[in-house]
Amino acid sequence: MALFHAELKINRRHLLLGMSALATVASFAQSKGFAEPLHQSDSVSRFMSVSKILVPHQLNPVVGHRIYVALNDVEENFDNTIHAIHNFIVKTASVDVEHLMPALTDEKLQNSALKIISAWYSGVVHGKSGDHVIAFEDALMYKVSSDVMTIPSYAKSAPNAWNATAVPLLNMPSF
Amino acid sequence: MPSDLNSDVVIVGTGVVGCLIAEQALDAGFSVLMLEAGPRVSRDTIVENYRNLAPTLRNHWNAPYPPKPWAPHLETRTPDEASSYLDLTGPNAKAYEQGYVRYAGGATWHWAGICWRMTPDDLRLKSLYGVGRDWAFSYDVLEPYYARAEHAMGVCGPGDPALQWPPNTARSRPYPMGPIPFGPGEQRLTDVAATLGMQNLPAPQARNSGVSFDGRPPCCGNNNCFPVCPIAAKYDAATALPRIEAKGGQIITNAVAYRVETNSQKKVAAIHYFDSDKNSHSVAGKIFVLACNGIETPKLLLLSADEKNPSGVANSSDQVGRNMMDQPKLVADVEMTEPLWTGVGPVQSSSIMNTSQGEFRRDYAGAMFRMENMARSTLGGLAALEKGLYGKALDQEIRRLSACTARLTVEHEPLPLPFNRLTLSDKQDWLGLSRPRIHYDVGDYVRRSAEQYTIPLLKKLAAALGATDIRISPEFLHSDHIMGGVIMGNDPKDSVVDVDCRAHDHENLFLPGGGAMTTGGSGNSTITMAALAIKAADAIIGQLHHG
Ligand SMILES: Cc1cc2nc3c(=O)[nH]c(=O)nc-3n(C[C@H](O)[C@H](O)[C@H](O)COP(=O)(O)OP(=O)(O)OC[C@H]3O[C@@H](n4cnc5c(N)ncnc54)[C@H](O)[C@@H]3O)c2cc1C
Ligand code: SF4
Repeated sequence: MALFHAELKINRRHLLLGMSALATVASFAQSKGFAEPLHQSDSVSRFMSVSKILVPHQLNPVVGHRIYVALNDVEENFDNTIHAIHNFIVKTASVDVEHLMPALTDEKLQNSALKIISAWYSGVVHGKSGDHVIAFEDALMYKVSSDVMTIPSYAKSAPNAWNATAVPLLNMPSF
Repeated sequence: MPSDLNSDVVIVGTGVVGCLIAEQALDAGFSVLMLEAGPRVSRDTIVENYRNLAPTLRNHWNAPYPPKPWAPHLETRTPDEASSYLDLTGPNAKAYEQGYVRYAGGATWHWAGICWRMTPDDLRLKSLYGVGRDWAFSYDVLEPYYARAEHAMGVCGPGDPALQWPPNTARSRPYPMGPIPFGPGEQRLTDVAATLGMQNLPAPQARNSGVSFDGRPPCCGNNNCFPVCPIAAKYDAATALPRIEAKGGQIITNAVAYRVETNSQKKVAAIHYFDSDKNSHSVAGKIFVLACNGIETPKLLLLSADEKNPSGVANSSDQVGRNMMDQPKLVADVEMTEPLWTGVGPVQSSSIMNTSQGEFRRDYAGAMFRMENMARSTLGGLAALEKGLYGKALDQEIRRLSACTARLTVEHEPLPLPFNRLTLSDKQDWLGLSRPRIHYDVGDYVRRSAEQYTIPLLKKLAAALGATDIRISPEFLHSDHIMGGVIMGNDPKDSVVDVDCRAHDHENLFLPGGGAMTTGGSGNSTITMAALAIKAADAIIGQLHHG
């Protein structure tokens, strides 16, 4: 619970940052090398490194930590899987998910990779004994249309300040 | 047995109908006691419940409202759950899976707030088209109550009479606030529908538009009106509860009314209720109001059968629980090549109403068409992930599915049909009370409308929007407007309540709300329930003053 509240506070602060500040945070995250350690356990930092290749966006380390804990809980030998994907990335010198996934022919590793991607986008990890809901407003699926629609339950704008302008599909927000 | 409590007015149910009557009676100087089956829960608890749901559950409007064992309501997360309270039978059982929460504040917690008035013609189906029933009064009688309800709930709407509903019809008061702006999806629908002669109107809605109203803030487009408006910009009856208490009203929560007791003068003497420990209590009063909604009110009357009232209280006509109505709904999920972008503004904010009127109603039902304005990012996100995509392709697909898909909806006008009937199930709830059993068949009038009128029109509308794919629901669904079970009329032989929602059989018992509606119309009907509640409150106050 404490972790959840900490995460909420961080997110509110993120929301308050202007778009230019967000862009700076994004480029800072992207400039970090693949294997650069975070101040977390080896397993979690390895998970974050793998995540950065699988999900080419700015990733919140608090959310990442929680996804790691949840997947570790529901997937057998999750650490070994992460190790294996990590080694594969290093061995093949994969720089992005578009190159990595077609090369990752081991079905088990591929499924785990998709589960990691799914957790970052949907904010949930499905387990046999129930769902681990990890993130709401940090779920990446909301960022993809954040230029147009609000994350449900958060304010869109000042009162009545929205309008009927339809933006082009191609204007993908950066996040 | 002497009653534990006593009040001038005893109201069962703290939904919009109960709360409107409570405030009016308190303002007139009478004491009010309200019994509420469910718990009283804070808004932030519900918002947190919602945000902590798995995304697949976020479109189950009841999911953030777990029921207490003593006050069950429909839950829909699994089929087993869906059949664990309402006992539904008949060819269109699915179309009566009514969503309401038994929480203090009732179902307006998760209503969309849309407030279409019925039209003068809607109240005269029998004399104009030879179907259904006529209401016991004309639109002119109802109009001032509509206006009062709009001001009591804070309904915003357009000032231009041509854009109002019914159009170009005299109103005793303007809407208290102007309309909410359209987002891109609604504007596009409006433009496209116009080419087919379908007029998409800005919806009158119980949502603060641009300004604060009644101590609640203006709508900021949080797009979460169901399952909960996080800022109470949308009216819900929970916002009335502190005001009722401040005016001296007493609210007892977790109090499940299970019996209405009548005396030898055919008046109601007391309401009996269970608390959450299954202890029984009773409340005496001068006037009794059952405002438990269109299912729970008839159920409570039937549960109260005794020697004096062998087929249930207020049921000498045998109409209690009959004529159950809702607008049978069909939905079409469409996919387009061009972005439509729903999700900007409230979850519903406009509808096509001119399709509900016309001579054709001799043969088949009129209907309201609309487009859901919910943000489709959750649906789009989950659907794209299902496809196993990643990287740029994943982002593009989520964005495409969020922007280029939509849900169109058509809600048909129901007729009051006596065979659509609520009875007591042989299955019981946690307290040992019979659950409601409802037999539901939408009827040929609605089926003909779907075949000959609405499905073809739905397809035309989708095509005009540029749909490349359209999937229409294979069966009728519910619209969550529960009506008819204590039907209003002048004749005590074929109706349950009179023009003031007073039971024909018991002069101090009032049964206001959806149950009293004689017919349902095509539009969302809570504003009519609220208007009837205010009319009933006038009658209650008059009755208390005179005797
Ligand atoms: C998802 C959804 C969206 C909707 N959107 C719209 C809309 O846009 N426009 C519209 O017009 N309508 C809409 N509705 C319908 C609207 O919510 C209802 O018509 C309205 O809330 C009914 O009000 P009520 O006061 O009659 O009943 P309720 O709000 O159901 O209140 C009844 C109260 O009585 C209590 N109660 C029940 N049984 C007992 C008992 N035995 N003892 C004590 N208390 C009891 C309940 O707990 C509840 O608090 C929607 C409904 C849903 C589910
Ligand atoms: S759009 Fe948002 S602020 Fe407006 S009523 Fe709906 S939930 Fe409330």
